[in-house]
Amino acid sequence: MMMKRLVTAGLAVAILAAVPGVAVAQEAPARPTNEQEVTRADRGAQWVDALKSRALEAIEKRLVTIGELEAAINRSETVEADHAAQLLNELRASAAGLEALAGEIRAAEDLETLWALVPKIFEDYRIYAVVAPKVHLVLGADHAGSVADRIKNAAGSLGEALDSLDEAGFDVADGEKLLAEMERLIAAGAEQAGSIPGMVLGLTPADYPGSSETLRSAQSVLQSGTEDLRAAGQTAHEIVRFILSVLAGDSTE
Amino acid sequence: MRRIGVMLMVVSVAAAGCGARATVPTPKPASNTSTETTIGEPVEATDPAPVPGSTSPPLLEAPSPAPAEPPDVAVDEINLMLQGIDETLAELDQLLNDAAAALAAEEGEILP
Repeated sequence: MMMKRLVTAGLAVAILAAVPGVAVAQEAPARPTNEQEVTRADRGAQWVDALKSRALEAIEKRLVTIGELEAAINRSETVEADHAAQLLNELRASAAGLEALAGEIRAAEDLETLWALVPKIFEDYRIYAVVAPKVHLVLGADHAGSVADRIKNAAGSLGEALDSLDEAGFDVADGEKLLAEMERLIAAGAEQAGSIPGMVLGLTPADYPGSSETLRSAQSVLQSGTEDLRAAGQTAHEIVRFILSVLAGDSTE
Repeated sequence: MRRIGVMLMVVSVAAAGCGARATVPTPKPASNTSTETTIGEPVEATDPAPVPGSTSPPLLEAPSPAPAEPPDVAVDEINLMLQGIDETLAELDQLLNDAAAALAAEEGEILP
């Protein structure tokens, strides 16, 4: 665990530090022409400033993403209220934590302190690895559940239409078969969509990297559920075509 | 008289056995004319056997009347409902794409 943390910290600092290092080298005209005039302390201060800048940029980027995720949740007309509340709470907590971390980073005066703080941007929040996919999957799953409800209503109306044709003496056996298939697809799609929040809502930054596999599985389930619902929608269109053909007096067999 | 009754039953059973539908999408004629119906003997009104098909003897009363008019089916309303479903399915596709993009962004996490 310690080793992993050290590796992560080293990697993060290396990446953060490497880019400003290049940037500093490219700013040659602004630097003293005599290298010897640049003291070790000056160089250290430049590194600290550059690292701080990069770290604060990384935090700002995540805060923007959090804002976008909050907006997506608030915009959604289909997200379940309890899911929205949980996700919004987590996002606000992440934003508050990142803002506090930004304050600590601004106040840091040496590389050693920054080395301890910078990895927290990734390790403590996992905005891109865990939070953002989780939010999008829950929004997608809840929307799929809503689509399933709408298609179920349509199936009810189509069933009533077939019943009235049947009562009037028309042969609707083929339509009933299509309706049964449509209902099967709706149930399958709804079940898959309904399982996703339970898979991902409990994931936290501490679950990374194992969380990635769970998120990918959830994505796969959502895709499969969406395909079932899409097929249910297509079947509904087929049933309407069947009804129209019966009403038009066409042969249905 | 008895012979005609038996014939009616045979024709009826044969039609049913051949999978003839009791109901058809288009209204049935009120009665059929057949050579067998012109024998001159009246058919007993109490014989209820349904005899669909062009070869069936005349019936005083069709036992399972075919639809005279199609029922009032709210096809326009259903079509509107399906249009709404298509739109929400398109939104779902977009949300799936968003989720896929979010998952793909994982690798960029360590880059500021």
